[in-house]
Amino acid sequence: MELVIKNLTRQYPDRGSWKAGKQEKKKKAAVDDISLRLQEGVYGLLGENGAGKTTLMRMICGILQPTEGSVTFDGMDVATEEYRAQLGYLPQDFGYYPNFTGYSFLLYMAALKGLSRAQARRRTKELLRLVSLEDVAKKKIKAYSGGMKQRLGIAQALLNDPKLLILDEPTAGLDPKERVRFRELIAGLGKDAVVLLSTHIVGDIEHIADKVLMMKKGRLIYEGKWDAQKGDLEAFYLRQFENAREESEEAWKQ
Amino acid sequence: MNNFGTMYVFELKKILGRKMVWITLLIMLVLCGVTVGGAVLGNYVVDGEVVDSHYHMMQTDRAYERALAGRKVDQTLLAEMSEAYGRLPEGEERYTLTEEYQRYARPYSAVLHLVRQTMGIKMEEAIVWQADEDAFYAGRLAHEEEMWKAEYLTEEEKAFWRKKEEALAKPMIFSYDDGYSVLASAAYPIGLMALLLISISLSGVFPGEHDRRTDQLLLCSRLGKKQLYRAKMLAGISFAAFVSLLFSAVSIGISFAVYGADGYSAPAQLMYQTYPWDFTVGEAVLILYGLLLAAALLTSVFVMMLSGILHHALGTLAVMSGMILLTLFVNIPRQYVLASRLYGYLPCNLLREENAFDAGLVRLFGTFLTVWQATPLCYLLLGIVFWAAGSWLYKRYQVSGR
Repeated sequence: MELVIKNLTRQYPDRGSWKAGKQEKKKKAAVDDISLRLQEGVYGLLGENGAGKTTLMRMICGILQPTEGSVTFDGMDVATEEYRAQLGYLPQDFGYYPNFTGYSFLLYMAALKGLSRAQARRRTKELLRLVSLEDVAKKKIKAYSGGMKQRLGIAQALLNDPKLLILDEPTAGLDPKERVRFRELIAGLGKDAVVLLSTHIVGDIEHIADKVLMMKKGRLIYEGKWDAQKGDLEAFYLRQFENAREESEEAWKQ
Repeated sequence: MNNFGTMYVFELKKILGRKMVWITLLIMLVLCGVTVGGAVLGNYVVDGEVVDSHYHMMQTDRAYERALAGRKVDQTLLAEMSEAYGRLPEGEERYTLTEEYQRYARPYSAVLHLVRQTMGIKMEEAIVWQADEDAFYAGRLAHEEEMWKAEYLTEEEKAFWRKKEEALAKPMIFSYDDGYSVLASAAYPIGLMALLLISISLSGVFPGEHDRRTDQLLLCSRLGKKQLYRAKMLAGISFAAFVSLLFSAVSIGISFAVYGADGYSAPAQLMYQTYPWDFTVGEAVLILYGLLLAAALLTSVFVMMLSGILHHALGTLAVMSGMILLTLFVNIPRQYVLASRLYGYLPCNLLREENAFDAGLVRLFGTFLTVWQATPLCYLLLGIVFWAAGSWLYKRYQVSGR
């Protein structure tokens, strides 16, 4: 089981340069030439806002086309149905249908993921129990709290027993108790799946990630295991963050 | 696993789950009822005094027309009509208020209307017209020739229609057909209401996923690219079919309840005096409501494709409303033959009776097709193009910039 990312790049037109009336339209790389090979395990993706984490995750999920590079999972191209059959995704801004109940929402997502009716019903019940939404399963999602919606988002990502699980800020909106529970759940999933999760909470990564990936300005600046010998991960992360802020302030002054 | 059926049901649920759809549907149904049955509401007032209720007037006229139903429009009937109208007092401006009209002429007013429309003459001329069966049917052909000239028909097209005219049974049989003629003239406003409701309801089918941010979940799911597109499109098309059939059923129900259902087998020339196709009044109405269904289906595919281009439900609705308004106010002169004919094929124009039963023909594989014969074929081809374009756009849709 291996996720292979080769020279992945995503460029956007730099609006600043365009407004300035420059002849040549400059491009800004949101993700810049990232190559990775990820096997089973939990990978924690860290980076400040705008570092390119979400863009990278969207390209891995096949919902954003890279400018260059490729993504494959066990040899399957990201654009194929087979690839998507292995994929579970929780976006940062999880969308839902306010008038659907939690139960019908999961049944709908299960249908989209290709599960049979019997499988869909079974998995829906299992996952509603897992994310403690059994009691409110027949209530409309618009009546759910933020944490409940987030738990529903996690449940939908797990419907098809994904072998590749992409979680963008999965613990956002969860209370501390739920966060600990979900950290354990994600750690368990990493035993036989490739799990890539992004978060701002360094503690989450320290507890469950087998490997740490750190992004800055679209580039991967760190990839590897993090252990106590290397020092405090949070301190390292904050140092990168501070450096980035200083650099941006200097660029602003110039 | 093919979950098309389940996805289709969920997509229908999404469309029907919006309150706005139901509110608009209810308003439109009320308007449908008013359009079809509204003519019998209220009173006929002259100089501030109520002369009669519209409903009673309709009942009276219906009784007179039913009394004439089944009779040939021949010298005898035409002479009776002429004789009855000859009894009207001369120089009376409001002849319909005279006793002579009520007693003698009114029972033949439908025949007078038929003569006037068939021969293309004014009311004053029709009242003093001397009954002549041959002149009546010859006058119809002359009127048709005038119309064909005004519509810039080619000589081949004229020859086609002359043959049709020759083949019509003469004298034709008179019948009461208000239940159908009201339906025929209501098809256009009802069609516009249906198209507006379809535009409102379907303009958010694709952009709604972007607005709710559910697009990213759908597109990365296994069946979210190909099958989901088909399920969404089919749900939208089914909704459009449901709307057009519901509107048609409600209109037909109200019309038959108010005016009666008699006249299905009457010759269509009682309703479309200068359209010499050999069909009945009932068949003409079925054709119109069949065209309403076709217009609804094509509009649904177009709206969904357009929403895929614009990624904006309100923008899509604005374009559709603009198109409908444009056709209400803008008309292309007949001298621009191709443009005016194509304009008549627009779904929001097609249901005007003069467009659906336009004498302009389409030549296909050596044979001529009328507008209502060519429309299903033309709409099917366009529908396939719109479907394919929408699919192409959907597959290339990117989740970015949030």
